[in-house]
Amino acid sequence: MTHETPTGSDLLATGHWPASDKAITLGLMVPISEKAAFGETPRFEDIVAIGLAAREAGFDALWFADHFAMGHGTEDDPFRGVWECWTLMAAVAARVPDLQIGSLVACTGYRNPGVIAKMTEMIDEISGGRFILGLGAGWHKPEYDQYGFPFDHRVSRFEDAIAIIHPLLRQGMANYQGEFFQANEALNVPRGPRPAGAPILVGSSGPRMLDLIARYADAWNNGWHSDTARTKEQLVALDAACEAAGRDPKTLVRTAGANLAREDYLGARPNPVPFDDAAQVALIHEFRDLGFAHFICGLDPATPESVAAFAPVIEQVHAG
Amino acid sequence: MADNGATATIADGRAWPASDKAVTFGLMMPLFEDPETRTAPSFEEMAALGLEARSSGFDALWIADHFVMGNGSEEQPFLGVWESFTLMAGLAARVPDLQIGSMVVCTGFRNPGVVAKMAEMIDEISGGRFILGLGAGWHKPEYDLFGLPFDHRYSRFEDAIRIIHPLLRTGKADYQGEFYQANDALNVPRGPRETGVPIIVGSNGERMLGLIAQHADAWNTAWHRDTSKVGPQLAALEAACAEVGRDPASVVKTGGLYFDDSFGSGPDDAANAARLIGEFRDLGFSHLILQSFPLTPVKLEAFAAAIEMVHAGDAG
Repeated sequence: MTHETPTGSDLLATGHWPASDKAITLGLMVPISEKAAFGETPRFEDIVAIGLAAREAGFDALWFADHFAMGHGTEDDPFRGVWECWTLMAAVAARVPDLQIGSLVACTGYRNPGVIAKMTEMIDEISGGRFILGLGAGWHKPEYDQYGFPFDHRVSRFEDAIAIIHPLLRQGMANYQGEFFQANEALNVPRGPRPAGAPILVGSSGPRMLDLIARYADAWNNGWHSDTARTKEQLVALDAACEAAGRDPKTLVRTAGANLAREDYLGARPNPVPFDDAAQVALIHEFRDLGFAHFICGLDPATPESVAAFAPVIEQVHAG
Repeated sequence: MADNGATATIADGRAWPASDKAVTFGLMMPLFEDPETRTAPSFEEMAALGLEARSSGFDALWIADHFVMGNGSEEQPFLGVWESFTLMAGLAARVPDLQIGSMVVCTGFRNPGVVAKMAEMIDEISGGRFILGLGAGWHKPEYDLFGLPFDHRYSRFEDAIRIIHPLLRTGKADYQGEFYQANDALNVPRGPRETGVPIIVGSNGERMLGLIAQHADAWNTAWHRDTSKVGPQLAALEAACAEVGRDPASVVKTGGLYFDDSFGSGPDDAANAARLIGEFRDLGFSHLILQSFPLTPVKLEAFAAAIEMVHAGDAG
């Protein structure tokens, strides 16, 4: 079987994203590490309970970070282990109905891009078409060092990876010769429930990354902060990158995320929006009015109880 | 290197799941496209089959690790395969009681630290029911498709298992290999078992047997229709154990049995299968993995009947 790699505008992403009749949908950042916003280390059944509570409270998506260990292994900043992202997402997809399940974000330095595409397809199948593939180039050097991954050329490695993953998801095939990753008439079969595969989200604002986002990403994330002035500057650069690539900027789905302090804030999630329901609703509305379609909440604490207690905030977000 | 817990001592088979049965049974799961219909089972079909295997007397579900089968030629077209780790995680979340294992994960496809982290997560998801099967890989077309190196497969395997074994047993590894390294690497949080998941390796090569003797709780030999090849394989395994000072009785012996497409259609098929299983049991095998593709309801019924006969015979 031969396969011509599409070029030019054929290659551009189209903003493939779960449909919703809400002006802005809400995601929950799920705590999956030691000394997380859960308090103690969340066990798998705790994570399922948080997911089911999120569904009950009105969230639309669950998001999972991709790390091996946070921290630097020092006395002030000891390593905090993190549950493996992909197998966890697969199992949560099997246990929690209805909600989107996404990586925020999977690091392209830790796994071969073909393996990432295959895992994405399997989770999309397990979830019945509810998976969102968030991708990033990675940043936390201690994790690379522990497992012997190269930390150099991260953006070039990311470029090779997304150039392989994107066609594997959209067409089930890829053919690409990169310096760091290659695909040789590679196949991604069997396919999951969606003919064009899972959406791709990328969170970055570096100039090279913005160009790759414009070409390959359905959705963009502002990189985890609540600063709307900074966000407006990011949007100018994002729109410019889309126009330079020949893509209508409106086809790029905008997503944001930030830490939100809740009752009995643990301090596990830094620099939160203070615990004030009205202020948190107003912030989410500000992002909505800037054209954001999805807002990810880093609740601290993040327990089944604190997630349930967030339901009135969600109600106000949708009422306003 | 100082003994900081980042090296594992020689395996002793104790990580293998205990059972009061003389022999337990695993089912090789179908997870690839059928050559005739070119469709693969859906996740819900695989989960339903897992539940059916549970009620048919099986103790374990086994999952292969491939990207494609076949070589892309007209006679052997590529057949897609579902990704193994995410599938095992999904099955662990939906099928209770049974062991879930990889038969076998290829150490050429993923970094060993990632393999250990995924093994630990599935052990947590399953409440301590995961078995990590490891192999060096063999199917060159899949390496080629995704640009993975096919050279030095045994050396890569050696690096990988020397990292994975301590990461599972102690949660730490420190190892400088030519192909894979671990630098005071951690595997935390830990799953429900203090010393982690069992490791099974399937190979009869001399270098691989040496690594099995040091690192594997269990050994697999596959795929057999009779016991004719097994005697010399067991002798070689025992010799490899003697070489490293391990009691060969501490290696759990498992075998893969292959049944052809007509299996289940003859009146004596289940009884013949039970007799073959008995021969393996008498040679010291304690777990047998049954495979026949496509896996039809008739074959599954015959497997269930054979399993029942073996247990009834053991009880009598």
